[in-house]
Amino acid sequence: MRLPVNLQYLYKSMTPRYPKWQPGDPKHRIFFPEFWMRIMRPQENRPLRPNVVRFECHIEMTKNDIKQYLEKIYKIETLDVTTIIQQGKENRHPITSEIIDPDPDKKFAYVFLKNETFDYPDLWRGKMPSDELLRDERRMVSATSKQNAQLIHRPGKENRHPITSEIIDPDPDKKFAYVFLKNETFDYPDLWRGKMPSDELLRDERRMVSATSKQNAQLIHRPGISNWFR
Amino acid sequence: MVILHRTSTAYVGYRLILCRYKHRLNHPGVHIPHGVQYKTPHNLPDEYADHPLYPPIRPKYPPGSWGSMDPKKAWMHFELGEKHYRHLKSVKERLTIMAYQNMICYYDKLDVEQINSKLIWMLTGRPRSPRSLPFYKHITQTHVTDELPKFYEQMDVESLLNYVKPILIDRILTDEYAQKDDIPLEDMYDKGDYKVSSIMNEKKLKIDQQRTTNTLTKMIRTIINVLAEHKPHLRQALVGSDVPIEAWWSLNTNGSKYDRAKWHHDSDTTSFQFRDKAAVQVKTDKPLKSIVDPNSSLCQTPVPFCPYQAPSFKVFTDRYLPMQIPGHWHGEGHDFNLLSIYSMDSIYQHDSYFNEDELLPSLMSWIVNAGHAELLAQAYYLGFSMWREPTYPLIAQTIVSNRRQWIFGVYQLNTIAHFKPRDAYTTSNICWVSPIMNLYERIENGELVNFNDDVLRHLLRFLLNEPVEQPDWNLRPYVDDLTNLDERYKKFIRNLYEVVKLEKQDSREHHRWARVHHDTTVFNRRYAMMTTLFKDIVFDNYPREWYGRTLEKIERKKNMPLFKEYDLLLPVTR
Repeated sequence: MRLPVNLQYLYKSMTPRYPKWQPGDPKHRIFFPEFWMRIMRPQENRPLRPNVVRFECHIEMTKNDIKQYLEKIYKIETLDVTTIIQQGKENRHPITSEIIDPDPDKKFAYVFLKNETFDYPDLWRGKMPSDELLRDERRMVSATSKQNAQLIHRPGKENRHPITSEIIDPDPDKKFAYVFLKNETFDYPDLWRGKMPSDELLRDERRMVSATSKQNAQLIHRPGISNWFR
Repeated sequence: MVILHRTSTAYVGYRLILCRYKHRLNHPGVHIPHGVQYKTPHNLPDEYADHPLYPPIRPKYPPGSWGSMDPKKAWMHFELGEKHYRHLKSVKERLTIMAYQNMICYYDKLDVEQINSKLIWMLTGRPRSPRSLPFYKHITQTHVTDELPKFYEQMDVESLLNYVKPILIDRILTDEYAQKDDIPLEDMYDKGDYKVSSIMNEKKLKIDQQRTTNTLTKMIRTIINVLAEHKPHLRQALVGSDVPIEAWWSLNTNGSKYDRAKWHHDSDTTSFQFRDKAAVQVKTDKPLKSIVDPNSSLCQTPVPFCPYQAPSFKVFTDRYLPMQIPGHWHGEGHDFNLLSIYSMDSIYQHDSYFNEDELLPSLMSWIVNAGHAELLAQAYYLGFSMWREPTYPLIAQTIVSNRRQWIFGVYQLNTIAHFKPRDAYTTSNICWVSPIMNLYERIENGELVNFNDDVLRHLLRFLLNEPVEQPDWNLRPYVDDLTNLDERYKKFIRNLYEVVKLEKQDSREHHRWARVHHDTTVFNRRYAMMTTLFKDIVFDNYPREWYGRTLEKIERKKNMPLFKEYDLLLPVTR
């Protein structure tokens, strides 16, 4: 994630536009730098001791800054802080191999707490978002395997010009897959209250045909009032 | 009728002709790896015998306790040990070979020779992170106890204390009020406007350390001079200051994944190197009395396992040669240490945010680490190694001091075989540590306030602890008698050790374009020179792996076998 420019480097961020202070005015200025810290899950290949918390922080924060941030704002006693900067991947152009869109560098802080222990909470009920994505992928793959579906490829009707019989406006090809579900049943829902749009159209056609026949000429066909004239 | 097709005469001609120019660039400026390096499989011998010759059936594990190690690996280690002791008769050779085996020499993709030593986890005396005692205990396989054996308290110290006390107080005070000499030139002309605090701290640390060293050396020397009349072991004692202590060992990872600093023989182990300087060291000829019976229940209990890896305790890798130095070069001093003292000043410079609560475990881990390393190096000098356990326990007495605060420790080494898995341990090492004691609170008006006698009593007990040796003990069972070797062999051994002694270590300070392989190339080349000058001795005595690799890698003919092919190293006809 690319941070906004004012959070990337402190020297680039603008101070808020304060009103001019005159003696007697209340003091609205807050001297608070753009420091932020974020708790991170410990990496799988580096198990942490129970007293240690892993943070990601603004790249310009020092160990003393982190310590005072936690002690003064959150009243957490820290014993030791280790910081490490992880360089972001430089993404290169596939052909010219010029560096385009580099990922930002990240700073991680391992904070050693004095009197407490911390365990990263279980937010995902034992699963990980990557697991869900994997499961979706697997589902898609299994749906396309032949045992579970029959695929019918029906090319669309090529509508030809009545005279030159050149293909004009071909209907798009359609692919139908009959998917056999494992544990579920599926019934196509009844959206049209038993009727079908094609039935309605047919009925209209029939009405038009019947209206022009002479038997029904006595029926007064009164067009709707056109307000335009009024 | 068979028709023979002439398949691609052009191709055949191509291969025959263009190989002539393999040594040149394929295209101006384009380097393609010269020469295809074929991995030659091992040549089984071509000897014909009438009846099939099978290797002898050997038991699953070699003699000794190996726990749950892979039997192939266990046999590999066993044979390594056998080779080590069969071919290398002197301790100096063993130390050199151990250092040399950590070097790698390879040719990178531009065909440039790269000589380097492999990575090792570097341990320092002072622990870099707080509360790292469980880690050091796990690495060195030690238990920390509270009980000192009785013979320390039975020593009569009072009269000596009363005699020595005023002399020592005098020494301490003279050092406190001693004039500062040798002001560096840059300080003389410094106006004093702005002083960078970190640089000032560093200078102060250096001065403090020198002062501590001087004071402690003086104290020890006065006590020894007083006692030398009555105690013969102190008459022959050697006292040294600023003594380097280094030790190397490899530890089994027991399943946890270490991605670097693996020992090249066994990828299940990581290697550690301890490096520190002792302020004062006193050396004697004979070993000290043991404090705990190696078969006691405390030694038999396994040490608690520390699942966290070295980087979480701020221990990092560096390229270094595995050295074993218990304070002296082999052959140039007495082999047993009576006492070694470390100066504690660096703790106050670097870890000033440690309270008193955190100080004691840090000092305890310092003592455990330093004692273990010292004794390990001693054991290697005495002929023991990771393949041959010490037949008697080795003892070290350690003090970490600040002239004001003192902490005492006694370490007993029972095992060296850390490369074996946890279930293979028969005993563990023991360390006794005292609480932190203040010799004096502060110095006021030329007097020490609240002088504590217990500290001096402990110190005197450590010095009076007489080393013991019975005439029928064999202190160096695995070292052969070298007096019968011819002069040329002795010269070779001496020169080989000099190669290690004059070796400054390499560390990754430069970028690749600026890296000049200062001393690792020197080491490699001197070793190669020694092995070629004394070729006949080497060919007669050393297995091919220990000298042949340089030659083979230069010819780029043969690679070291993979572990799965290890069985085929030696020919079938044995």
